[in-house]
Amino acid sequence: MSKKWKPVAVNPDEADDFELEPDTIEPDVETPVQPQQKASSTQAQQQSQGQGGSSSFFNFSNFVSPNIDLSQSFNPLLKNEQVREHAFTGGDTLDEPVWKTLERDFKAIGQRLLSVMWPASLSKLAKIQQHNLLIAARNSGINVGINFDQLGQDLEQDIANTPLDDSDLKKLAWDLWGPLLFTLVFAVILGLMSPEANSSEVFSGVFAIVWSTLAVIAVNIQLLGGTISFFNALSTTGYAMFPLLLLAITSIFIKWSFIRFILYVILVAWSVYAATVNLKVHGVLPGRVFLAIYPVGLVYATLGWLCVIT
Amino acid sequence: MSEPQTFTDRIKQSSHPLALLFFLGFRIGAPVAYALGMFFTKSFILEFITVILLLAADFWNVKNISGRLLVGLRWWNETDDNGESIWVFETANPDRQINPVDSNIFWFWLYLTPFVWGVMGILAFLKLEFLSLILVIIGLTLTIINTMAFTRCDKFGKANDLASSVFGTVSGSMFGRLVPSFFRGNQ
Repeated sequence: MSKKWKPVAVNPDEADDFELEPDTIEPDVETPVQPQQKASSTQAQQQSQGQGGSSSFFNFSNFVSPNIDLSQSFNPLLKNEQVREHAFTGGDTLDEPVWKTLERDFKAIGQRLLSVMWPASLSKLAKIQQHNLLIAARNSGINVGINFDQLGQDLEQDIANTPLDDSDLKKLAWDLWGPLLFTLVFAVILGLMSPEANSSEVFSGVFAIVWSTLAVIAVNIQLLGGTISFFNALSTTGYAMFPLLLLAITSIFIKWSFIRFILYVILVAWSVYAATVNLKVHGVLPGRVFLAIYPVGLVYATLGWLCVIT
Repeated sequence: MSEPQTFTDRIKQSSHPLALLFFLGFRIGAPVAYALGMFFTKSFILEFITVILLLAADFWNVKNISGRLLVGLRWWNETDDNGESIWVFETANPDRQINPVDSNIFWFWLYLTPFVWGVMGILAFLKLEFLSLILVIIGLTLTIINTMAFTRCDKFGKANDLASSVFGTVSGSMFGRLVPSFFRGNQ
């Protein structure tokens, strides 16, 4: 919102200076301690003792706080959702007038919608973001299966010509207003076009299915790594549903299935393209964009097909 | 605050009567529309949309308008360069006078509505109304997110003197035991 998003700032020149310092492990020369003291020692100390293989007799606190740390197993899932909190240090927005709050949110929604309606406007930004992510991935040792040097040379010239503009990146703030309205209208249209008897079942079924599949997709995208968060992925895939909404609206008026099918192909392709560009901008790792977009394409194709056959 | 007061008296004592009315309208409107919707319309779709939009409006209104006008708190969530999620808490200057009427009403309804949705969720489950259960789950999620975020924001900033607010202290400490440690603090 108020804090501008900045791309991953990694200087490629510093990448070569990256070296591992050897860990200096102190030998475990601790004198045997009383059990009472041991029970009150911190968990970190217990872990170091366990690794050192020192005197480890029955210790009650091992049952209370076991040394096996399961959080490592869920690391890929939790990585992006680690919560830090800090106090707001920018200007005072607590006393701003209500219309200013409204205006800011409407502008953010408009930017987001624009990025879906005209994805090509983001393509340059996507290129730069992908380049930055590639450098960051290389520096942190993630293999994305792309020859860096070749791609880097292609992109370096582009980036030299077009300096990064921060103002383009502020549309990265996610919101769920668009997805909410899109799924509501989409479900209403499908519900009203189905037979009268079960229209409410169709409506709530479509609504629930769209949201749950979007959530599953967002988890998938987040697990693939990169700097995208769960809600950002949810928002991105939800906003990219906009062409499907157009498809649903046109299917009210056009009953001829051949034209419906042509529209289906065009609009689903548009949706998938918009989602691809937006996901690239919001931080999916370069070699994994296809893995991220594949289930999204399947869901869009299925949802679009509902509009064709209804 | 213990002496009986009429609703209009409370509104008159408020520093932000319009914000208070909107707050109460959306807060109470969504559960009421859910509970009584079928008396006014036979269409489930219409009821569903009304409740969803009221819930979304309530969520946005509490998060962005009511919180900062009534108790001087604001929270949001943003993503940093590494994709980590950060909770940002903004609290008013301690010198700023928080109207006790505003504060009491805000905290009372902030904690009450999740319970109301929880009760309606149990009822919907017992009546096997699974379509309505979708609505209840959405309502529960949205209201609980706001409650937890504002509780944390309040604890984080300590701008609001909770001791002066009966509802704030009682339900705040009770809530602190119920919520997972994820939302309670940064330990």
